[in-house]
Amino acid sequence: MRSLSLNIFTTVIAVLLLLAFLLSVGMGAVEISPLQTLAILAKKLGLTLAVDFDAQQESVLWHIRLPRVLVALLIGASLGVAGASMQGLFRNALADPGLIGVSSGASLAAVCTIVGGSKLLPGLAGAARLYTLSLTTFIGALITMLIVYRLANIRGRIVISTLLLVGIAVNALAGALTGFFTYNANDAQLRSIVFWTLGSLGGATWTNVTGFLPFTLLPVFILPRLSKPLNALALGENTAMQLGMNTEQAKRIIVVLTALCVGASVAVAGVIGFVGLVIPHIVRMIVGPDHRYLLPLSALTGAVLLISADLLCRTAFAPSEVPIGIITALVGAPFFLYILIKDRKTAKLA
Amino acid sequence: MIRLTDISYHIGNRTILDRVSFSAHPGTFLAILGANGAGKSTLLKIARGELHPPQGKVSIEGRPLREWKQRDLAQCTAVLQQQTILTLPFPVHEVVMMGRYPHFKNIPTPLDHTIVKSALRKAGIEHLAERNYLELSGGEQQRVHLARVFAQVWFAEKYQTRYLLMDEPGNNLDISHQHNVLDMAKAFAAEGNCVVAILHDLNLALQYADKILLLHKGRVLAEGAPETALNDENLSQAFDFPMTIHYSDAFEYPVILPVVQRQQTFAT
Repeated sequence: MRSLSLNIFTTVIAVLLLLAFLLSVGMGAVEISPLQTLAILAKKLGLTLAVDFDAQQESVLWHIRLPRVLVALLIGASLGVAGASMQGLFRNALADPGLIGVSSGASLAAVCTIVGGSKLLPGLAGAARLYTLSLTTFIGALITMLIVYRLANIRGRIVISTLLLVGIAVNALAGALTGFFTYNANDAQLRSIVFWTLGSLGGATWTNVTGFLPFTLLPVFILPRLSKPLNALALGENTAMQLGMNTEQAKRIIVVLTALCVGASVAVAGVIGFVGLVIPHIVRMIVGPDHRYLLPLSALTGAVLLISADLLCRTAFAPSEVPIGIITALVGAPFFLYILIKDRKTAKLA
Repeated sequence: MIRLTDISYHIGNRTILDRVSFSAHPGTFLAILGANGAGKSTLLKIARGELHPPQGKVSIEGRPLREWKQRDLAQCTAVLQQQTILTLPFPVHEVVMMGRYPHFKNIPTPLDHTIVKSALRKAGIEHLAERNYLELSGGEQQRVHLARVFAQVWFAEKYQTRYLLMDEPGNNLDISHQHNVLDMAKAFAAEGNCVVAILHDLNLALQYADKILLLHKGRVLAEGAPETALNDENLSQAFDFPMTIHYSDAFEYPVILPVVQRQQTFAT
């Protein structure tokens, strides 16, 4: 029964991922059919397919669409896996990088770097700029993660109300400081800051893709290896220890890797909220909470969702673009309320 | 064998345990008895290395606890806590499978699956195997954790003797299930394993325990076989209430009863 639904879900998600990918690289001001996409990709590999396409299509696909879709895929996957791991670490399905303030911590670090960094590091561009940003957002995410974990962990037990309240406090603080920088920013910085706080994949380039790749691959492949300790942690830290898990080590790795996911995605695309909340929740409803399946499938589902959301935000009001963070919040916030209403009945939040 | 020597434990300037020593041998069911605050749970936590006493030694199989690898210890020792909190919607069989985590690397072996099935059956929750843990009643949840700890020490490749520590295993259970649990624990001990359980019900202790450790205000008040360790005097002292142990030919076991004296009048 279970393995059947698992297999069906995996197949469906894999097919959806392919569809979303082909659709997303094909849609826009310049239309490219799925076959043309395959032909262009084949050409890059030195193969020729009997499908016609023009140079403009090739250029648009290769320089604009493809990096953008790949960045969406990578960010979706890493936010999905980070959300699922974070919920495992905090033993609660409401832990989300956005809600508990980790994304704001990262975006605050980004804003500080943009405004402060322009004076200290004026010549920074391209990959170096991305890496500097990634590093500071990672540090911002990591520090927030540690603060939140310390405060919400009371004698080995995670108190969810404290967790969410700490999130509110961190979000408020980050909001105030971001507001301060916004107030003092010049025009160019201002656009940059808006981009960070609302999220966008508009600036995606190959540099982003290659720069972001290791930060995604590392967590996406390492975190599922921690499925056993993550499952055992659901029974509390003491019980996990009694089940022979090296909980301290597992917790450290999870904290660092999730901060890496959140930090890197904020550096590339700004704050894209609720992905880490919604995705693992959907996956858990279908395949159950076992992290062995939950983590990889959350990565896949996250990729599908983000590619689709990005497609929506650049085509819905074309030629103007809606920041992707707005789309994910429009879907995610009602979903959050839905979880709260559903859990009220079983009183799982206590 | 689990051996605790000269254990003292303080919280602030309050003494929880004062030079407590005891050992639990393979093949025995040891029951720890005592009033609230006598230090029973603290003692059990120290025995498993969850708390570290500033004074005293703890060893399992002759090896000091801190020299054990966490995973090795988990293969031969399981703990049932007074309360286990689980907030994620795991199906029951997966919670029980967590008991086998110390034994397999990534994928459960066929033996692990067999053990989980047997543990579910023994705990009388076979029919709940596919159910969501969060939707069960308190008593059913307690039996899931019982199945989990029994699965953990059901079989260990490297260890002949396994250890089962339980803090009030009868919590939330009705009489038939309480007896079922203790019966399982007794049979487990009889196979050469070692059970240490904190029990609230004194008569259950008399019926199942091979050995009693009676604690009073952080000290050992009495220790030994139930009939020799427990008498009217030390029971009354331990529980701060007049108690009597009653021997009768009508029952196989003696019966412990509180001596109720109705002398009080309300509101005077």
